[in-house]
Amino acid sequence: MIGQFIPGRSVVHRLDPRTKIIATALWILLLFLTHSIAGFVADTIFLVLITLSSRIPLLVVLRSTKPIIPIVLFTSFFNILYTSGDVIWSAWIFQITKQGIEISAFLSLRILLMVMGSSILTFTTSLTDITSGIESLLSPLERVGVRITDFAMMVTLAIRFIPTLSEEVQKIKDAQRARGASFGSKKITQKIKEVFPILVPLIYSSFRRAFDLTNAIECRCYNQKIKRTKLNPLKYQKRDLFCGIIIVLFFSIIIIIQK
Amino acid sequence: MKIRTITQVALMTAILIILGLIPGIPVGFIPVPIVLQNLGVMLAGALLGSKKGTLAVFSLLVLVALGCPFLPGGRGGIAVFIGPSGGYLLSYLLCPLIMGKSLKLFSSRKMLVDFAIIWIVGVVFINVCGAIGLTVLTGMPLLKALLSVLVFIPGDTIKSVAAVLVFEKLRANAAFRSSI
Repeated sequence: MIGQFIPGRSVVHRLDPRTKIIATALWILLLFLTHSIAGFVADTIFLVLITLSSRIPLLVVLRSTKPIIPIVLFTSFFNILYTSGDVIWSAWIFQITKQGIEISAFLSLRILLMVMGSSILTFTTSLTDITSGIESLLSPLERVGVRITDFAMMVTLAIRFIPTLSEEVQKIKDAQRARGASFGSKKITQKIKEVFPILVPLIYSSFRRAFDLTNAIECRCYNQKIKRTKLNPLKYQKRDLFCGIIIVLFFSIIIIIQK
Repeated sequence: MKIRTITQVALMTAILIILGLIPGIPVGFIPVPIVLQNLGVMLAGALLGSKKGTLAVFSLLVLVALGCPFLPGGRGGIAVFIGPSGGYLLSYLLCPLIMGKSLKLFSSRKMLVDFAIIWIVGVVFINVCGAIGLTVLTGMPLLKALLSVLVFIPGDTIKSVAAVLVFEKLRANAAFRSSI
């Protein structure tokens, strides 16, 4: 399975992808509006509740922040040492200030919660559904000339051809090896030369495939000027309305308690 | 948009993804392994031109943002855009745009000219953006960031040599030109 989707039957999994995409966007907005300890505690509680109801293991969600740990630590380090304010500790040219610690903590929390919230979306929604959801949400842009449908088609086709091209690479490699090519050489010039027997035929055959695909699509009467139907159209359910109300209420409460 | 544009961009996006899934190639004296994905980014600009090449890279970045592990090492998700590689990812988007335009303007059947364009846009520009990204996202001083990205220059230069050779070989092929 391509992507990070974790199959399940929880209420979060069954929500319409558009609901989840909008909720994630609101979540990111909420984090930028949060600026107090009480606010961040409420945010964290909300995220934990969502995680529990999605039945994704908490550890998996926490692990999604791994790529940004270095940057969070690095940014915190600089903020702690270079923010002016009430000095708690100082030595040589360094000083730790209360304001620096506060800024670092809030910044780190904001980034970590943002990444974890975004991961919930990708864990509970398949790539196909996310693509459909984004296409649907952005469809108003069609009226100002942005080709959302075409872009969705590109992404869908690209995903479809990943396994095909993977096989192609393997076939090309085997064919070249049968002709005497050796892969895994130690010399650097040899390593450069190894790229060509694979890359040139791969690109060439891909463009031939694109050419054939274009003809096949046109023969099947695909036409951008005609409104398309969908095999699996997205439909809102009552639970989308219910969850949407909960989210709006909760976010409003968090904003209010910080005033 | 023509259907041919859609299919070509889709296939190039798939190639970019495939190149990202190939493990890095360790080379003796270069401290970082050579990953092939930005070779794909260079080729996207050179072969498809600025518009289609940019669309191909944009599709890749959208998929990565949606959580697909399509970057070297299986990285994906929104986190990588605000990580140390953030500047590089943005430059991947700009690279085909600039390279496509430059090759159209200056390309004159001289391999050396093509190589200069691909090297400047595909290596120097991308690494400068990477350094700026490091500065913006982590607060690292720009000079130090520039020095730290020098470690990638040798590997990327090798890739730009490979890119120009692939580009010339495919451009010389009449059947390939007619399918673009």
